Amino acid sequence: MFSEECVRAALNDLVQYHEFEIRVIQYSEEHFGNFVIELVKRDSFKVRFIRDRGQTWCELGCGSDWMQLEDVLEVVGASFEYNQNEDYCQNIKLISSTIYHEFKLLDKALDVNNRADTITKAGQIKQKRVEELLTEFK
Amino acid sequence: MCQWDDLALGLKTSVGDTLQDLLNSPQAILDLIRAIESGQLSLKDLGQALGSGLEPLKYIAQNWNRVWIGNPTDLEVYEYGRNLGSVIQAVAGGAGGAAAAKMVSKAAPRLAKVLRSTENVAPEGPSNLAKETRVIAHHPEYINLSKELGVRPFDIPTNAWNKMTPTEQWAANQKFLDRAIAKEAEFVLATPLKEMRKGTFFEKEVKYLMSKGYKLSSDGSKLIKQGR
Repeated sequence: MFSEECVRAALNDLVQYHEFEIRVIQYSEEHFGNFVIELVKRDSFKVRFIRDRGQTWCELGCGSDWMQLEDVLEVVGASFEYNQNEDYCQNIKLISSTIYHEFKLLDKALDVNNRADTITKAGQIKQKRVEELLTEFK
Repeated sequence: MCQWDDLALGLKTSVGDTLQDLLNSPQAILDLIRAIESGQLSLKDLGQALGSGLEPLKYIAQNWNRVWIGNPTDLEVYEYGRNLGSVIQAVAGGAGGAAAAKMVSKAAPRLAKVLRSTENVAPEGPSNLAKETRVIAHHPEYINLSKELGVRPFDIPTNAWNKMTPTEQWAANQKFLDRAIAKEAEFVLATPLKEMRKGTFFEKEVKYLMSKGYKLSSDGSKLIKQGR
C-alpha cells in the first residue's frame, strides 16, 4: 500500500534542511504500484525517485538530463550501495540521507561550472555499461 | 466464496493480454465453474487430455472445497484464479488438442465461444507479423509510449503484483515477452539502453530478448529479431 505520509517523512531532511520542494508525487495503482516523485531546488539539481515493478531508485537531473545517483556519486569519488528491491519508503529514506550527507559534493558537481564535465563523465559510465551488455550477447 | 475481485485478479495474472475478452465475460467463467461443480466437466478427464503434468489442474481439484465451500483467504482465492486461468490458457493454447477443446466446448459453451473469438481476433500468420510491436522500458516511459503507440504494455495491478513471489513476477513478465516473441514482435525501447539500470526488470527483459536472438537496431531504438 502506497503511503504519501511515509514518503514525505522520508524526504523530510531534503525538504527541511536543503530546501527541496516536492513537485510531483505520481502514484499508479493500476500499474504495479509504480511511482515518480520529483523534487526541485532553486539554483540546484533536481531529484527524482522512481519505483518500477517494486524496485526503487533515484536519479539526479540538470535541465533535461537525468543521471543515476550512483553514477554521479562515482564521478565525485563517493560510493553508495543499497538493495533496490527493499521497501520503497525505507529506500527513499536511505537515498535521501545519502543525498543530504553528500549534498555539497553533488551540488558542486552539478553547478553551472562543472555540470557539463559531470554529465560527460556520467555518460561514459553509461556507455561502458551498454558496451558490456552488447559484448555479452555478441 | 465472495472474493470475486481476487478471483478476477488471479485470472488476469494468468491469462494476461491474449485472453482479455475472458475477463469481460464472467458468465463464461461461471459456466466453467458450474460445469466442474456438477461433474459435467470431469477434471480427471480434462487432466488426461491436457497431460498429467498440469499442476494448475491439480491445484484446482485439491482446493475446490476450500475455495467454494470453506472460508478462503483473499490470497487463496487469488491463487485459485491464477491456476484456473492457467488451465484456460492451456486449453486456449491448444494443449490437450481437440479432446480438451471438445470437453470445454460441451460443458462450458460460452467459454468456448470466447476462446474461439480470441483466436479470430488475433490470428497468427505472416500477414500479422510485421505489425506486432511491444514497448519495454523503465516506468514511466513504457506506459507513456505504449499509450502513444496504442499498444498494450506489460501490466499487472498492484494488489496482484504484490501477492506474487519474485519468481512468479518474472514468470509473468517472461510470459508477456514469450507471447510477443512467438509473433516475432519488435520491442521498442522507450528508455534507451544507456539509461537502463542494472538489476531491474527492464534489464532482465533486454537480456532475455538478446538471449532469444534479438539484436539492437542500428539506430538503437528497438530490439529486433536477427534476420528481419
